[in-house]
Amino acid sequence: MSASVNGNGADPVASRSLLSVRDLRLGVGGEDSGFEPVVGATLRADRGEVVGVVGESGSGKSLTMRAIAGLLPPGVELRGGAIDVDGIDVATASKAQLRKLHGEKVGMIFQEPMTALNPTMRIGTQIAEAARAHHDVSRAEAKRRAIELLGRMGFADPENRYRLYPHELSGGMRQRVVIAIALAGEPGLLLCDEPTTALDATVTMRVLDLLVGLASEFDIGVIIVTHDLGVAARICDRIVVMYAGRMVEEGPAGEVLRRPRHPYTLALLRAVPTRDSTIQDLRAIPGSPPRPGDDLPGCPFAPRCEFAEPACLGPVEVTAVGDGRMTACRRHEVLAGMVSARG
Amino acid sequence: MTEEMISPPARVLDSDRGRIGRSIGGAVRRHVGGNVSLAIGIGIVGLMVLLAAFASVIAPYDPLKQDVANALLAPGEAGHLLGTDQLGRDVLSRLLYGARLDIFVALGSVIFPFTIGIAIGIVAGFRGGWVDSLLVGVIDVVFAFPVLVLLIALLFVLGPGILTIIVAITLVDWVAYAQLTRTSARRERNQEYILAARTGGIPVWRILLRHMLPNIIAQPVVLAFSDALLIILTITTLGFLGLGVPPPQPDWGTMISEAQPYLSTQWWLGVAPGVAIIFTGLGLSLIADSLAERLDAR
Repeated sequence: MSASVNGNGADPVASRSLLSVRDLRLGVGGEDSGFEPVVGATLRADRGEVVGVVGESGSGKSLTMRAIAGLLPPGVELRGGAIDVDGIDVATASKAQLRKLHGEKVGMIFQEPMTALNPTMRIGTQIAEAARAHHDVSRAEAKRRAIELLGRMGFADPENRYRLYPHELSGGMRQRVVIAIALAGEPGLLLCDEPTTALDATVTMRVLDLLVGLASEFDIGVIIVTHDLGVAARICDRIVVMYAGRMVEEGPAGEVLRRPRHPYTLALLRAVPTRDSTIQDLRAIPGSPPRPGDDLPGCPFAPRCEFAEPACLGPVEVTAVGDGRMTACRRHEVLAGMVSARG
Repeated sequence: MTEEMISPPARVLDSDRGRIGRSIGGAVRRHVGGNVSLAIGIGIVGLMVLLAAFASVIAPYDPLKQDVANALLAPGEAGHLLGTDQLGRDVLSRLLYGARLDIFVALGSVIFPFTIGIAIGIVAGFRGGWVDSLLVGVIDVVFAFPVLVLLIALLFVLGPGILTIIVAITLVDWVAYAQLTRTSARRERNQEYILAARTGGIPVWRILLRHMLPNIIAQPVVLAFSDALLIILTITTLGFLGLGVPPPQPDWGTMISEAQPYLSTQWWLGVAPGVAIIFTGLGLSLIADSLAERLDAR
């Protein structure tokens, strides 16, 4: 699959560009016997931009994030494509470059704030330690910075909260500590792997607003992996939809969610309850996602797609469809006509 | 839930080394509860350590001084509270000095395997790959040997003495800690807080020392206490076999060994050090078992 970019404003201004992932392929097991959970993920992010990566469980979102962070789980290997994070080629990075990548270029936020903090260490110490790992600062300076970050994360009385242990905090507070740790090395890119899945609905909004605020305030790129289209719609500038380890659609959030150019995006949208739809209007996507290791000729969504035709089993091309949008569906025009006809 | 649970270290040792059975500490704890049994255990071990530390003050006689004219006295006779042995040495004094020696050797034989085993296990478990495979191979080989035979072979190679005992036990015993720590480290390295620390660019040694170690140390600590008991038994066994602390240094195992010919006539000579071993062992077992329960060392 080749990402044929036709101009159309898809080329970011070079200096603003933070992350570019092209045709990423990740494999598990041997070259012949194994399978590929990620086949052709393409992704980019600029400074000050919030990018949503949307897809079902098992679509390769989290693995793509870990590949960007240079922390693939044991047994998973990079088989192709390129990852460039602010000038560092992650695939070929040396140990010194990886050290620079971790914390200084990329910060990562995890799904479960219960387990993302060290239970035996004070939260302030954990933030200060992350700050000292990258900047040659004194203990006192690191502590001052940690307190400042805690304050920025919305903690009242950060001087005293500094001394608390993770188990003394609520889920939302813990997640804000995790964010503070990720920011302590002053990275340009923040990867958030389902940052609100484990949180209450009320806390979710506060954490999301915090992330959006950080993107503009610190001028950093934020990538949010989520399976919640509501979250994506609320905070993202751009959305990348992934299915079965592939990027299937990409574009400005409003455009993608209002006028999807890929049947999978459309199906996802139809499965989300809204104020105006009754329960009968909700549609589950027929069939089930391909299992890992399934051999998929052509479009991976074709077996579940209501628009599919025999030609969909041929090679898939990613095409630009205007406004910096891309889709992997060869029948996107049919979709465009249909969606606009619906209004 | 903990009612029918055997404490993990005991289970590890049960299946892998066949040195002891079910823990006595566990049986006591089921009757009196964790806090009480922990307090009793600490009390017993504390008392033994104090007696050992102040042996020179408490002991009524020189443990090495022979007085053949007063050999094999019964307890209480001529001012010897526990009688005298075949060479007329005061049994109580020898018991106290023996405690000093045995507890000192046990301490050394726990600290070195504990430290070395944890260091190797945590690195192998975290790194994985060939380092880990190599460690697993070594662990299997050491476990496959009958411990006592291996120890005796090492003692012959290295020559007798206190230091030799510590070195020999360390060479054999570190694998228990390495195995335990490796398993925990493998489990823990995929935890998100470790990933978070790694994405934060924290140096690996710091991640291992400050993030991973405090979260996995409970199990090795519990093991150390039950291990101390086994090591005291091993030291006394070696003493009994004549491979332990060289005479005339008093050591519980040697005392039992020397008392053997008199067991039918002067039975207390063998029983006194035997009771001391059981008493110390009970204390250690109580601590190990209550800690295992309290720390919920999985």
